[in-house]
Amino acid sequence: MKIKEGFVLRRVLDEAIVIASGKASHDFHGMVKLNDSAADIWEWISEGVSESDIAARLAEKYELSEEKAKADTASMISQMTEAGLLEA
Amino acid sequence: MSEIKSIEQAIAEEGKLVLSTAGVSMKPLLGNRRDTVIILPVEGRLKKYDVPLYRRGEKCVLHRIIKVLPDSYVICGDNCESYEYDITDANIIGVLSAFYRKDKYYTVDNPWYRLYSVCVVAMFPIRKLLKKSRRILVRVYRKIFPKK
Repeated sequence: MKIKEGFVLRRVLDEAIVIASGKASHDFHGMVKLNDSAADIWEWISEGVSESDIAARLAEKYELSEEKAKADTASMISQMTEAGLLEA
Repeated sequence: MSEIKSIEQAIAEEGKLVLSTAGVSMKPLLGNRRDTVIILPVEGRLKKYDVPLYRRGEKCVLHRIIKVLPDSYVICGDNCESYEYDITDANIIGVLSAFYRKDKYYTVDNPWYRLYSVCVVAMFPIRKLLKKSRRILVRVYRKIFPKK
């Protein structure tokens, strides 16, 4: 699992927004707003952190139960994949 | 997580637009599909050196104001030589407030950016002349040394 080439996270007025640049911007013209935890997940994915470790970090940072963190991580990764931002 | 909106809808609802640049008309400031611009809604009239995002037919264009007229603006891309007239406030979607250039963040209040804006506008007539001279020279060269 990794971020598709060309997608970048920009911090704008205290918001995290993903947009496409380079070749990716030919096909993707929108902007995707991420909340704090989604932005963290994005950054951890970009660092190459595994899904299970992302869930562990999420649980620790946001004081979530292990199950809740795992479910949230899986849901966010699934949404990002559906939006075409991630690839295997 | 995602929802499709028009550019006008997005700026009205979100209060900003974050876009990747496309095209070379604002070079050397903004590179083709390299940089990111942050566009905010406009309040009141724009000023000389402002860089509005505006509608030109189906297209959205981001160019610089070089002259403010009572009812419209004269606009030109930093890398263009033709002026655009008759751009009114009704055509304006928003105005550049900040940008990422090669991943470095600048606001339009940055003193170096402001200096750049003044210089690039001052150089429009010179650049126009230089580009025209270059075209004439190329034409003369081609007459003397035609392509085989």
